[in-house]
Amino acid sequence: MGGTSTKDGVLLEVRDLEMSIFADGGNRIVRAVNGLSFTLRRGRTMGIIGESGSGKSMTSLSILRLLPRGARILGGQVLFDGRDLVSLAERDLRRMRGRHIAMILQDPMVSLDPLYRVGDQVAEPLRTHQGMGGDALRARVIELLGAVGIPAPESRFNQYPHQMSGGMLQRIVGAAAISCGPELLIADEPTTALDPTVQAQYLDLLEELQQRTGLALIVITHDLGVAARLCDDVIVMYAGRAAEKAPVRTLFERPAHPYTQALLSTLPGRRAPDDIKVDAHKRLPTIEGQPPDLAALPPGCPFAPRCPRADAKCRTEMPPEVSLATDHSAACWYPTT
Amino acid sequence: MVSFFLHRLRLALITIFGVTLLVFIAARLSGDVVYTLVDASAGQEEIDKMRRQLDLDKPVWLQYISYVGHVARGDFGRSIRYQRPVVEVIAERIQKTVQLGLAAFAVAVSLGISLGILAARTRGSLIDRAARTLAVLAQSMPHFWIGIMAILIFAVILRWLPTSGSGTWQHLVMPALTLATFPMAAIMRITRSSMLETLDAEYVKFLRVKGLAERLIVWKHALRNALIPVVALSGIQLGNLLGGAVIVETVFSWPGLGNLMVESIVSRDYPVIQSGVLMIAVFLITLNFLVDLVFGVIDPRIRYN
Amino acid sequence: MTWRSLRRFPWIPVLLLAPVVICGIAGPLLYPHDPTVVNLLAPRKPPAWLAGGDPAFLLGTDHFGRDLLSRLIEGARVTLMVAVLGVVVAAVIGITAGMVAGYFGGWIDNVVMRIVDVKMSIPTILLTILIGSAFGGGLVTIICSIIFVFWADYARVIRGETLSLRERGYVALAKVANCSHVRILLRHILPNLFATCMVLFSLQLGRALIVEAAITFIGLGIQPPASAWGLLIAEGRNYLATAWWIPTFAGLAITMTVLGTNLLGDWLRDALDPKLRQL
Repeated sequence: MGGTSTKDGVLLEVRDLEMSIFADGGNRIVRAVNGLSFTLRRGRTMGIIGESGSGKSMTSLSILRLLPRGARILGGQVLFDGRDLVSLAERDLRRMRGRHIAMILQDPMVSLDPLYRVGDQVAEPLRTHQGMGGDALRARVIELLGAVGIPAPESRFNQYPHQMSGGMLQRIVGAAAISCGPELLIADEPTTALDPTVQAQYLDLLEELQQRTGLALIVITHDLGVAARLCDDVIVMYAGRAAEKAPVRTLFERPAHPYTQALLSTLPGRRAPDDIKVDAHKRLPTIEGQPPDLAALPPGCPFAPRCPRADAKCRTEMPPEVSLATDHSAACWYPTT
Repeated sequence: MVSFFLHRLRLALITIFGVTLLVFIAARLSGDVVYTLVDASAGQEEIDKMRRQLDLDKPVWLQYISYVGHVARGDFGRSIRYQRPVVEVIAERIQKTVQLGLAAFAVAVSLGISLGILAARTRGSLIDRAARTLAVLAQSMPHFWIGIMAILIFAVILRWLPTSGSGTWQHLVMPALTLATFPMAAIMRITRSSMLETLDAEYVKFLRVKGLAERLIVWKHALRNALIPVVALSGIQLGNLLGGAVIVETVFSWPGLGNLMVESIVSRDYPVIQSGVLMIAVFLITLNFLVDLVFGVIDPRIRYN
Repeated sequence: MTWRSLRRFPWIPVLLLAPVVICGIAGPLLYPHDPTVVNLLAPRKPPAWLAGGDPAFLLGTDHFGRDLLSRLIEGARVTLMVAVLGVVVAAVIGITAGMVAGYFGGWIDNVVMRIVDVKMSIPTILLTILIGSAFGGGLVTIICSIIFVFWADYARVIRGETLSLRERGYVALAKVANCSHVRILLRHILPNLFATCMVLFSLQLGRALIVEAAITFIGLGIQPPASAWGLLIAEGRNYLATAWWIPTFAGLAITMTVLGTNLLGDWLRDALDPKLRQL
């Protein structure tokens, strides 16, 4: 391992990632991710926000190359610690999953096999990747369960998923994810499936884990509050592209892309990120118009049909990513500066 | 678990009650048993005496209670043809049917599940399509015709296997395979669709996220989940198998229970038919009850609820 | 209603079933020979294209010299009539029982479902033999058996659907509007069961054909000298070494028809309501 990227602390670098889903026997091509690039440093938290269908979940699945049926990565690179995951052999990639890169899926209630005890399911990555077994394994699992805040972990070890609450399962899933000490954890919609009090506790837990282990975090969310609360940097996705990339404070205070502005304008008043409440039940604010059909994207800017600022150029030519400041860029012909 | 068990037990008992009622009605409709028990030369007095002995002079509901009483004590009446207790006649034939049924069931389950998994894992491929086509075809052919065609090809033309009878393992091959076709097709289809559904489940995705080997995901996790509906179906399939055995035993002159039943139609040996049906039904009800208990073992959601 | 969603035309099942239906309807007009005429001078003649075959008897003759093709055509009439009649009556009884059980629930539901349980606990062929022991063999037994076997599947499925339909808003509205139970069942619930009934009917028709052939094969069903496919197989079985064509063609006729109804049922299910996959 190593290489140039590790020196400056870059853990993950996604370059021009393109992923499409071939449906109906190839007759319908859904362009889920279209030339996405971003960089994540060690120990930092990146938020990816967007409406459903903006390609944010597909991005996370593409990083791990766990693609839905009919999906193919058509181009780009995913450099993790300098190694390109897109071209890595399936065998080697499997050794990365769960060990160096972990992921927590949206719904903890269905993320565990109903027929096996939760302790065994937390133990699986340790068994697979670190060859642990016996009492040492059991002790380690119980320690992990304690670390994610599960009371009486010894007795919980032997329980089955259906015997636990959603919040508890979320923690179990978290324990399984961090069991091998990954450098990167991807949390897909970490709060949607939970009720509000559990949500807050869970975000606390994610933060605490990050501080303790120094892992880097990618948070996929449609909740501006979650992004404000957890993230250092944010990518706003629209139609499989990055509409805007910025440090979280910049994004909330000086949004440059009209789509970001439309999203933020729906928040009451102008607020600093710290003031925005976490509330997953308040969906990503809806703005006027329909998100584009990913199987029939227009030639120009995909946001143009809904954009107040759009002109003829926007409708025919794809805007390039314009750098506005250090770490701040927007894919727009007429960004606010 | 205990309340689940009791609920199932209650349903099973009610069903057994229903079956005895049905068999009783069939027995009454099939004619006056007295004439099958007395000599043709018997006088009216002797007939009336026999009637009283059998409680046939009582109201119908009392007759039913008396019938259930006899059955509960293991008294199923006498075979008209063999002039021996029905229980003895049936007991002699059971072993052959169990042998055939188990062989066929083993083939159906092992081949059905393996083909189902193979088809699911190669979804959309040539193997998958061939397996599904064969399954539809197998479910469209009558047992007895498959059997006769097998005899024609393997016994008459190729002379590889004996046409009928029992004794050696060669005698078992064709009847067992014939009997296995239908349940095998059914098990294959359900295994395939259940496996596909499981492989798409969110927890399977999470197992992949954890970096587990595909082999472990398929064989340890997906298969166990996918087998739940297969187990549910296998109880019903065993019932179908016993029904099919009647036909297959006739085709291959296999001296089992099914063959006995068909012979009894010809010889109008109704006590054998009715008691045979009753025993098989009770066996199947018990079996399905046990299958429900097996569920409790496989599926912790039932065990603990 | 849902007919618009019937996508592609089901060529395979229609091609499989068309000859059978035509033979069933127009049978007597199509006989090359009278199927009942015995010709002891020409017993067990092989099909026309084989050595010793006679072009006059396209598929050969049976052990009494009767024309096999004519007997197959006659068999189509009997076979189809019995299966369709049995399944239609079973459907009427089963749909009624299922709707009543699902709609009213309570003890009615319990009684219906326990009767269904009893039926399910006895394998089909054994049930037939039991019915045969009560009524003797023949057409009555065969039709009673088909009705008794297949009504229960209808009742079970329709009950489940009715249970969920009962919770729909418009049924509750109809209740509030003081519609009678009969009116609600016929006007608001029955039309919504259409797709399920069609799919079940098609799938059961195939199974009824197999049951019918099996009953006839063991001697409880249609009796000679009538012609039915199951009977042809039973008769042909005794001449397997010398006249393989008799059971072979009769079995092919059954397989073709059952395959046709099964594929038609699958297609109907996908076209009308993919949710019915468990049928």
